[in-house]
Amino acid sequence: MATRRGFLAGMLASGFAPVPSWADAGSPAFLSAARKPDGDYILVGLDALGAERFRIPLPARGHAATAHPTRPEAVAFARRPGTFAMVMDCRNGDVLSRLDCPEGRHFYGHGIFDASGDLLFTTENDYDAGQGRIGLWDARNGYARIGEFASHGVGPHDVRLMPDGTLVVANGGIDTHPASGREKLNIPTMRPNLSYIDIDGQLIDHVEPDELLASIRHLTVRPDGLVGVGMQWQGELADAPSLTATHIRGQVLREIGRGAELAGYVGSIAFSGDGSQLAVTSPRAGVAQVFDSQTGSKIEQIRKEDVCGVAALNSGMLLTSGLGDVFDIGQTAQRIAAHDLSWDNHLVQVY
Amino acid sequence: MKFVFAFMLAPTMAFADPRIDVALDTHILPRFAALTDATAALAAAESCEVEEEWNTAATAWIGVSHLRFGPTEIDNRAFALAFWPDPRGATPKSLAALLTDDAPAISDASVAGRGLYAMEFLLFDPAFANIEGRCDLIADIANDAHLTALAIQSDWEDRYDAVLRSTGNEIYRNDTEALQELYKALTTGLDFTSDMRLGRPLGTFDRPRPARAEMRRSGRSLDNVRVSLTSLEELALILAGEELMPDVEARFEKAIDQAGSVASVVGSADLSIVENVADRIKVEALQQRVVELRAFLSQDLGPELGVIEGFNSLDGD
Repeated sequence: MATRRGFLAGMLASGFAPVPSWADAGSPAFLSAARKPDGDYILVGLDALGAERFRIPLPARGHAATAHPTRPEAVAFARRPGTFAMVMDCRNGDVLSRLDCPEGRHFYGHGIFDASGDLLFTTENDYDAGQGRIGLWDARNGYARIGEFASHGVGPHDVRLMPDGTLVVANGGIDTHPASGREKLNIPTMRPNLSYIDIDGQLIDHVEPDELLASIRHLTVRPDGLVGVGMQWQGELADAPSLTATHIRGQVLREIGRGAELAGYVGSIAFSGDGSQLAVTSPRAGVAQVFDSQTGSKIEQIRKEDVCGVAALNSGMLLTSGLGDVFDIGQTAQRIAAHDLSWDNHLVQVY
Repeated sequence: MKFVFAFMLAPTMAFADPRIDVALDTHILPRFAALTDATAALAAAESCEVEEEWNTAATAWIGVSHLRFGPTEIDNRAFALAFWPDPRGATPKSLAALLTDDAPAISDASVAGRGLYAMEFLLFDPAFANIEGRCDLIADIANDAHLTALAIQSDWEDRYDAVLRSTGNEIYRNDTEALQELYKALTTGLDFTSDMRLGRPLGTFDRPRPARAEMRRSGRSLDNVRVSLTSLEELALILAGEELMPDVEARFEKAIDQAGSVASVVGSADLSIVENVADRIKVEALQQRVVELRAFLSQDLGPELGVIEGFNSLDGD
C-alpha cells in the first residue's frame, strides 16, 4: 500500500536527499565475521591495508556476509542451520532488518544481491523435502520475503551473480536436517552440481563433478563469466581428486590442482582483481594455493596456519586466518596486519 | 559433525610408536572380529526370533562405531551396517519397499534398508510385527550385514593393519599421522555420542525429542551411550601417555558413572525420560560430562599428538 510516509521515503531514497554510501562507513574494502578473544562474535569492515574500519556485534557465530552494492548495508548470516540473518547499517551498527526464514527452511550462510541492490538471493534448505531453495528478499522494501525457487539440487551453499544478471549456485549435494544438526545424511548417494539459474528460477545450465563425493561449495566469478569452483571431498583423503575447478557455461568443468594437497577441503576461493590468478585456501592443510586462471598451473603455495578467507584486492588478493592475521598475496604473502581476532571462514569484497 | 584438525609439522619418530600396535592389537582388530562373530551368529540363527543375537551384534557395532576411516569407508560399508540418524524416516520406507519385493537383493538396496538399524525396525517395531515376508527379510538382512562385517574385518587384517602399523606410506606419512587418525576417531566418537546419541533425544528444554533416540525401539538408547564411552575410554587410555592416563581415566569414569545414575531411573533405557524435567537433568548432566571430557582431550591430549584445532580448520563450512 502506498502510504504518504512510504512515498516520502521513496523520494528520499531516489536522490532528493543525500543517499548513504559505503564512504559513510569508512569505505571498507572487505567484510569479515570474526570471534573476539572473549568469545563474542562481530562483523568487521577492513580496508585495503587490513586495518579495521568498523565493528558491529553479532548475536552468534556468523558465516559469510554480503555487502549491498551501493548502500552501506551488510547482511550477516547465521551459520547453517541458522534461520535468521541480520541487515546491519555499517555506519552505526544499527540492525535495519532481520530476515527470518519461512517455516520449514533454514539458511546455508551465503547470499548475494542483484546488480542494482534491489533484490537479495539466499541459499536455503527445504529440509523436510531435502531440496535446495533460493529465497528472494526485497531490499527496497525492508527485506520482505517475496518468493523462492528451486536451487536445482541438494544443499546449496554459495550463490553468486553472473555478469549477465543470472545466478550461479553451488549445490553441495549433501542432505542435512536440523533434527540431526550438521550430520550428513546422504553421503552414499550425494549428487553435487553447479547450476546456472535465471532470476525467475529457470535452470539455464548445470554440470556435475566427475567424482560425486566432491561437494561443490564455494564460488568466485570473473567479470567475463569464468566461474571458479571450490570443493570439499567426502571420501577417503587418499582418494581425493582435484577440488578446484573453473567453468564456462556450456562447457565441462576444468579441474585444477590436487585435492590431497588441500587436505580434501577448500575453505574459500577468489579470483585476483585482474582475473589472471585464482586462489584457494585450506585451513585444514594450513595452505593457500594460487593458480594461473588460464593455464591452471600452480604459481604459488603459501603455508599459513588456519588460513581461510581470501578476496581480490586491486590486481592481487588478501588472505585472512583464524590467528587474526591479514596477508597480501601480491607482496610475497607478507603479513600486512595482525588483529586480536579470529577471522571466520570468508573475506567478502565490498563493491 | 565431522570435524577436522590442522596438522602441525611434527617431528618424525625414529622408532615405531608402540601405541599404534597396542591400538590395533587390543582395540581395533579384536573389536572388528567381535562384530564379525556377532553378525555370523545373527546370520546363522534358524528362526527370526533373533532379538538376543541382534542385541549382541548391536553392542559390537556401537563399540567400533567411532572407527570411521579406512575399511569402513569403502563401498559404503559402515552406512550399510548402520544407517543412523535418519530424520527423514528412510529406513521404514526402504523396508516397506523390500517387503513388497519377492526376492530382494539386499546388497543392491538403499543403505537405509540394510544393516542393524533396519533390523531393529523388523524385530521391535509393532508396525512390522505381523507383516508378510518379515522373517525372510530378517534373514536376508542378517546375511548381508554379516558379509559387510566380514568385508570390513578382512580389509583390516589383509590391508589396513599394515597401512596403519607400518607408516611411511601414501596414507600416513609417519606414525604421528597414524596417531592423529586414531585421535580423530576418539574425538569424533565423543562428539557423536554427545551430539547425536544424547543431543537428539534431549532436543530443547521446551521441546524434548524422545522419538529421536538411537535404537529406542529395542530400548538400547542409554546402553549405547555406555557402550560407546567404554570403547572410547579403551582407545583414549592407549593414546594417553603415562602422565595423562589417570586424568583421562577419572574423567571417563565420571561420565560412565553418570550414565549409571541415569540407568537407575525407571524407564530410562530408551531415554524417553528426557520429557520428565527431574530426570531430564540427569541426562543433561551426562551430556555435560561428555562435553567436558571432549574439551579436556582437545586441550591436553590433542596438542601432545601434534593436533591443534584451529578456528577455521576445526569447524569450517
